[in-house]
Amino acid sequence: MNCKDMKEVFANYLDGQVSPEEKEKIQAHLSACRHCQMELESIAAIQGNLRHAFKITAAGTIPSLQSLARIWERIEAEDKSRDAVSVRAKSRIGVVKDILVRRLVSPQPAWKVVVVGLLVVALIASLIVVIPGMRQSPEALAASIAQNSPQVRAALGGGGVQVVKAIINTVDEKGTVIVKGELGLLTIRVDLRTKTVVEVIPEPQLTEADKDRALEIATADPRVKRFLVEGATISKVETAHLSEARTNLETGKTEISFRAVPVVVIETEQGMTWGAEVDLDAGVVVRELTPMGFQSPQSFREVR
Amino acid sequence: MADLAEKWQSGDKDAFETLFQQYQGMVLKTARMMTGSGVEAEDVLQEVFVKVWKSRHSFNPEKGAIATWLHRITMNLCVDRSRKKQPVFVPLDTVELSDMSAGIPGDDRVMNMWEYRELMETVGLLDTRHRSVVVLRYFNELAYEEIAQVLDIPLGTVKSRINQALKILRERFGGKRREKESI
Repeated sequence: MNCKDMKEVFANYLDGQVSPEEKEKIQAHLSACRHCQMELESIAAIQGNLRHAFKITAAGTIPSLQSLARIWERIEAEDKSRDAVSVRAKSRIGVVKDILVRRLVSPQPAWKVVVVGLLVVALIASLIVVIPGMRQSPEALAASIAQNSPQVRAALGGGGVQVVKAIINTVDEKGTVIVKGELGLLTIRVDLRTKTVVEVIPEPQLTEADKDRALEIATADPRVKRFLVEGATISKVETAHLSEARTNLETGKTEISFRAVPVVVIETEQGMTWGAEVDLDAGVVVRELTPMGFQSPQSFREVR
Repeated sequence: MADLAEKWQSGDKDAFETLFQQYQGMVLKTARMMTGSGVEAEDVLQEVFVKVWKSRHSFNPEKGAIATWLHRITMNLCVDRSRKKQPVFVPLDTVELSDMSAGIPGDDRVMNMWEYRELMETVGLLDTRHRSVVVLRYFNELAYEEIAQVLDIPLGTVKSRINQALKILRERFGGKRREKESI
């Protein structure tokens, strides 16, 4: 087995998906080839990072409590539209059949047949347009209203509009959509009935005083102090945006909004970066972020 | 499970809802990895289970497990959506910072949030053939044979796609990391 052959089996070897004979050949080559050892290590690193990144994404992917209700609504809507299509199709077939029979028995002016043909085409076209709309979930509808609004596009700098989150109030058929673009984040309130944007709310910002206070709180934190004693420095205070969903138990309305939180960024002597999220109201570091290189398994928690 | 499947196939709504509760997380998360969007994943979840209800008679337990069947429906819907989309790359959702610091039990690896986003965006740039195998293998942890069954492709194709996908990811992601380091 040469280096070229090896390139075709690195992942399969690491996944244990090679035959015993292949495994033996691969191991023999690896023991003599430093280059392939390094290649193998880099593929193993990608596999590990992928698994980790997927786990992080999965941890942040929470099913909506409304999903099941929406599924039943969609099933019912599809059943109704199918029945309607079936009835209309049957009646339309009947009409066309009648026309053809009449045309054969008693010829009609050609323009009448053309008009009927156009009507049939229009009916089919309208069904094509209506049916996919019925299949769309309210969340997807809210997202598309926000994404396609010229007002939202303009507020984000005219570029692409990426939907971060959408939530629907079944009570008043209004939705809240968080979107992101070139100029930052926006909270968009949409009306599903009128399919319009009702309100565009800019992202919350931290004041310089907030940042100074965050710095003060972080430098008093024993975990941060430990880093500083070991030679780390605080490089900046960044603003992070956390989304929050709140449900009013009386009205049943759920709203999502963004909250600006300060994150104090700490650079270690080894060139690694840490973040400390600060709660300004409580005056404490509430969360340690782990923005470090993949190579280090050390975590803030272990340093405490 | 056999009982549950039988009840669901005979039209028992409670059995269907139990099935939904059991598998909604798996379907939603897989769709999220495939589409890169929480909103779209929620839509796929709903569409998958509408199909699960309407096509319940087409499920044959002798041909494979329910999970395999659900994976197939999920992947097909995600690939269909991807085909219908305009050819514009939509970046992946942001993950809240709280998610980043939640930690993964039993996993002491730590990840820079910028690198995490870069990697997920790189996964989002893979074509759906390669993204499917990567998600099924490294998120769902399916064996190669199961991936072949879900995607209805030969085992050899699974092997080569996984190898190609990892090479592409390494090149693109490695390139981005080098660019960042040189800044």
